[in-house]
Amino acid sequence: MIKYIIKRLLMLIPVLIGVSIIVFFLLRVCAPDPAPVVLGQHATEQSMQEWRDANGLNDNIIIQYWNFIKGAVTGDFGESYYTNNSVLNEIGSRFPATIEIAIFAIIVATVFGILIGVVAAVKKNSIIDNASMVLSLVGVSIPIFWLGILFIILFVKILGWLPASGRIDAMLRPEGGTGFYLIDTLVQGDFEAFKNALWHLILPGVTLALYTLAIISRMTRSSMLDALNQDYIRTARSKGISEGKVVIKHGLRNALMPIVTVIGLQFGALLGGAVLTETVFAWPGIGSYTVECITKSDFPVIQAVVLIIATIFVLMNLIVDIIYAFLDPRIKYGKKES
Amino acid sequence: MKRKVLCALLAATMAVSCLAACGDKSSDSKSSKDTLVYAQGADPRGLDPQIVDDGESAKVTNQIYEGLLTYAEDSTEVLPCLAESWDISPDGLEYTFKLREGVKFHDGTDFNAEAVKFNVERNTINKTEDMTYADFVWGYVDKSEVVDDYTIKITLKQPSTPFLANLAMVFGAPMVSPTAAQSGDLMNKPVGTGPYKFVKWNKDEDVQLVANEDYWDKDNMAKTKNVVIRTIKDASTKIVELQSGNVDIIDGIDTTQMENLKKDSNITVSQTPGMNVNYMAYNIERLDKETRVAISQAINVDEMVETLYNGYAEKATTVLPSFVPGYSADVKQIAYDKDAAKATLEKKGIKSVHMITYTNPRPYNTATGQTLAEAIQGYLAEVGVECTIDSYDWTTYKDRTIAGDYDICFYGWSGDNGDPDNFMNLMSDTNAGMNVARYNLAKNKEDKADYKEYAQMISDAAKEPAGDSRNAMYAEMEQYVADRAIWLPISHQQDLTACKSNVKNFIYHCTATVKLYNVTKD
Repeated sequence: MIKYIIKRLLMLIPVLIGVSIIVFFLLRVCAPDPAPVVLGQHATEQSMQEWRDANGLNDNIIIQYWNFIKGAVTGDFGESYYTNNSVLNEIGSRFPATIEIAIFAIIVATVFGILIGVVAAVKKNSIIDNASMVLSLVGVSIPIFWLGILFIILFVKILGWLPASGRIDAMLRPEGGTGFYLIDTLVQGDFEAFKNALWHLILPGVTLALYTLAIISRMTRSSMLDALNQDYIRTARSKGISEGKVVIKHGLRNALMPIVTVIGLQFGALLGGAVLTETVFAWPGIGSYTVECITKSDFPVIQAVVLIIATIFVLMNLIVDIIYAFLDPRIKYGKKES
Repeated sequence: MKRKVLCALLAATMAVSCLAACGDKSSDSKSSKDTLVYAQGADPRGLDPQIVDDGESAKVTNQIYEGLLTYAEDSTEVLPCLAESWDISPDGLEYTFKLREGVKFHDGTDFNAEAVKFNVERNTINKTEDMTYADFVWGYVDKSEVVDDYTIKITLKQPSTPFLANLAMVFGAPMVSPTAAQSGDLMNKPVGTGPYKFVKWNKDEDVQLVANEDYWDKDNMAKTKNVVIRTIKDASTKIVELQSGNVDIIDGIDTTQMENLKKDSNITVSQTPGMNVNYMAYNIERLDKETRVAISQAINVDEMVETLYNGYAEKATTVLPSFVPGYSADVKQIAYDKDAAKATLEKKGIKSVHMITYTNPRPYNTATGQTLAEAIQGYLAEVGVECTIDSYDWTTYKDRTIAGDYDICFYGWSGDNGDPDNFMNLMSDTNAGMNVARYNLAKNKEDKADYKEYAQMISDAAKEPAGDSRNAMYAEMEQYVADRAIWLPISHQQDLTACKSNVKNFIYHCTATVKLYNVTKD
């Protein structure tokens, strides 16, 4: 297994080289010149030329790529053109917000998605099944920004239960720590701040979860239906095992493989940032920041974010494959078939 | 064991979800009386006022920093600030500033003539290529000399009347602590002399400030202890947060939301005349005066401004906004005359024109360049001229204007310093990115001669001391460019802000900035 993991990790290298080439050259060929954006309304031809010189944009493109790769392997992605801050600092200051909401959303989506999917499969063709599948269809189809605005109108404007934006009230923000406010506030024992952070997380988290929840519930239903028709289920029932045990232990466990794949990929996507949710709820994550950097042609940030997201996806796939082995003992990585 | 874990997970998720349903209407997220929450639509670029150029940064830095001079509360009149008084030599080259004594930067560094010299040199001999306003504010400076601890003499290379107005600007001009600039990171940890001190910046969330208890101006100490300047990118969310009491003041309101806000008795909205101009520029390289005048005659600017901006922009009667010195109400633009336009354009055989425009809203044109171009396309169709419109995102568009492949383009200008030169010199500038009418590249004899004359008028007026005589020079120039149809001035966009009705003394300045030291909450 360890040999297999190392092999998969080594495969990251060509993937990242490929991704870096694509993103680097696409930006240089397709993206607008960053100089006028950085220098603003008083930019002159001369000042733009000086700025391009200072930022290496007038160098040969191969040399530019080499300098980028040289920096990237040592963890130096350069500085944002727009803010002059280290790219890693810019990304690092926003990543905890993205991870926090992604974990919250994936937990909500997984728990409720599997629950709904299992119930729908067990009660196949019942009202519950039809209703849950219509709801999941709506969940997949509904534009997330519109849903977000509806939630804000209902829960903030009409009911006044929850805040519409941000991660926590500024005056309650925990000092230092990990950047994960739920953890930091708990560790510091500040329960008022914890409650405030949780309150802020609910609306964006649930909005973000709904799409994934819908996909997971549909996948669970179809996978469960398949599993429940297998001979071993009939055998289990004939042995007198309780229906709950049959569904969970024999049905769900065997149906989990495709569900885990979907969860893994969805989690990877959530970690890449959720542009619309972040914008609507003023959630300071990596998604809307990256889009902003794209509109400003902030090449160093875009390059770093794309490489990080590619790495996350590869790692998520690897984790899913490892989970397969735990779910299905027949799967043995790195061993020749006997 | 696994089942226990699953059950715990399920219970936790259920509990979290249920919290939403049983949430109380507590005011824990409502801002308290000693905390003022201001929401804007983007995160600041940085907090070094000598590097940044965006309004979002300025809203923060304007609370922390001060310049030698400042603007009056509700106009661009220049007043003393860190400089108590100043003398200008008769030749207009030497400016001697008497500095205020007993002022300290937030890090304890003394504010004195040496500090001013450091700031001047940071923007001149030591400037870096990313200091976007250094040349604009300090470009004419030849040298600065310390006369004594609290007197500094700045010598210019040539007389420049806008220099004083430049020293009151929020970009380039504010004084930064020399100690912090040399050893620190001003983009992230600003250190000035202002009524508020920096506390913390959480990227894409908020910037926190606290009242400076050692502020030098005891009559104008910060009235509210804490200020939080939040970033809320979505316009609708910003409004809901204001209405639900989680923020106190918002700016950058979409015109379509104004009617809704006006109906809310807990909200006070304000429309501030903007120091900007939204215009259509003719490419003087391609279109002669007769054609330009005819096209201007074909467009009903009054009707168009009323339709496109719903009363939230004023029709531009000239290039200058009405509150900028030099504005003249007597300037006559080319009048709407569809028949005369049609006759001239037919006579000249003009059947089509090529327009380029931008797709996104701009501070001076919230309706977008695309909408504006399409409206004008409609007017020109009525006089038998077909328009081809090429639209681009703003960044690409700026490149396209420099390339110059168009008959007509749409542009605008947000004023920097309240001086008429800042607007009027755009048509004499030799930089294609600024002078989008390409007046300096005029090909025909008449336009070429006119440009030479206009450039001389601009140069003379920039050296003329401020006052009635100078204002008259600009009024003359406004009529000069109107008669020659270099631009078609369209509108001046208003700045729209709203605050909760318990917020007092909030004034949005015409330079699109705010000072919050005097703002209180009942």
